[in-house]
Amino acid sequence: MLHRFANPTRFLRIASIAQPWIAWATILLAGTGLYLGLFNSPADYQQGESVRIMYVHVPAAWMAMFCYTSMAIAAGIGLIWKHPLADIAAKATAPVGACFTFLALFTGSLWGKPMWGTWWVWDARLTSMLVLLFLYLGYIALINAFDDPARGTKSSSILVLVGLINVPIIKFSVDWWNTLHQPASVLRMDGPSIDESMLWPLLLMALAFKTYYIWVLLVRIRAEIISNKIRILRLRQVHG
Amino acid sequence: MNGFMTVLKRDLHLAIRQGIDSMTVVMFFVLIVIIFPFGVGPEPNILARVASGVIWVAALLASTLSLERLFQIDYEDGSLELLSLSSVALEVIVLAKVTAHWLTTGLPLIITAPLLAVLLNMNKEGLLVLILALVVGTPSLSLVGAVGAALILGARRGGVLLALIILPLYLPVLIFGVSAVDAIINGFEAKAQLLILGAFFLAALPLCTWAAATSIKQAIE
Amino acid sequence: MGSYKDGKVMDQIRDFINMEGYGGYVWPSYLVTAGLMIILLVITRRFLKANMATLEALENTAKEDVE
Repeated sequence: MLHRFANPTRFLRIASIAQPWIAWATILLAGTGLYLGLFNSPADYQQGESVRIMYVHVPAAWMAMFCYTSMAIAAGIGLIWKHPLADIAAKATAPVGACFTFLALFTGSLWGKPMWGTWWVWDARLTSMLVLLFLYLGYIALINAFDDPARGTKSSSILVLVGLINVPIIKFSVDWWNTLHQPASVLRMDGPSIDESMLWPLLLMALAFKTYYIWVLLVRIRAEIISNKIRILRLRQVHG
Repeated sequence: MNGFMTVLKRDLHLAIRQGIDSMTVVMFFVLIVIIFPFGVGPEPNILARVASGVIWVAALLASTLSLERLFQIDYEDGSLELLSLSSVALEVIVLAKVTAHWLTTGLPLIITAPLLAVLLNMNKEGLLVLILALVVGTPSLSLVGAVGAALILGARRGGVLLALIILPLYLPVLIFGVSAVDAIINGFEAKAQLLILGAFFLAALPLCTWAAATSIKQAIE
Repeated sequence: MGSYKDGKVMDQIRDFINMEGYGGYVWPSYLVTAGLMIILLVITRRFLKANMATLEALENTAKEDVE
């Protein structure tokens, strides 16, 4: 199964066929999700209209974790089976993941201000997200720091895997740290009682974010495959 | 074991011959801590409150500073490749170099810590736990840092990059190191935190050695 | 001067934008999310287009060399 898509040339063909479908799916899902979320769902009885931030915040936070896991799986496949496409997929996922992590933090902050009265608290979830953002940024910095792209790919793949083991440990330590320092009452947010009319826009937006990720991934992987071809052609010209 | 001792002795010899290097790291460590009271003010109770955090953060930064050269010099002059061709496993070499790094930077930091604790008005119980926490915690810093040092071999802007990728991974050690001292100062037990720090070390020992050796392998390929 | 009906629609739009006073928090979240995602997509697409153009140019010069 994996090998059918593993060949870069075949991937290029499949990707260029799949891309418009994915793009339309993203636009449709996001459109419906936005319509339901902004116009056709009730305000929360506790949080009022501010609950609508949830429809972008929660999917972004989900995608932040999802992208890191995907990146780690791709990096692992790339390291063990030396699969060029997996390496490219890991590299292409990083900016999207960093973008979603930043958005989760940013929208969380905008949601926190009216709800908790502050832009930022050193809450366990927020703090772990912040660390995750720096893991993404470290990965991007490392992969771009080498003159030989193959070296950068391998080094940063190892870093993702080290990070993957570390993420739960960091989560655990931040939780511990947080129970020590958190002033007890600030963050007792039991979450809005999710009504079905809120669940639909949330799910649609989450799906839209996922197809968006696939969309960007396809474009980026195509770009990276072509960029590899360019490098090989240039080398051939120099040596030939 | 023989290979381990050979590499360890060699690295220690080099460090002693260029003694200025590890001295610089210790001076950097002391200086960061000394600068702090100018930032937060000299009130003894404020200093006592932040003392453990300041000392730990300074130790983190000092360790990051010294890590860049852990493999870099041997990588550039080719001796890392020679070492890897010998019969000694790369993991053993990594372990020996990490031990040498800890002996030349971690240990001096621990020795200077009491002095700094006095400057920051930390009490006796706190100091004792701080030393214990540093003894258990700094080897983990050297181990995790070794992975970072191996990953950046041959990279541009290695030093800053190293700090960027390593500091987030240091976070657990910092949290439990500081919270051990805070616990004892506030009249609780610090046993749990110290045990967790120990567990980190035991987990980091095989994992980081393997990860660092793997990165070096692909760097000298 | 708008008619009575227009005024009602304007009020509804104003209410919608105001979001019970939460508009200042809700709209920036949506706008920044949309903006950032679109920028990332555009940058990635530009990267692809640029690479495609370079590749084509390279392949053409390679052909000319052969001829």
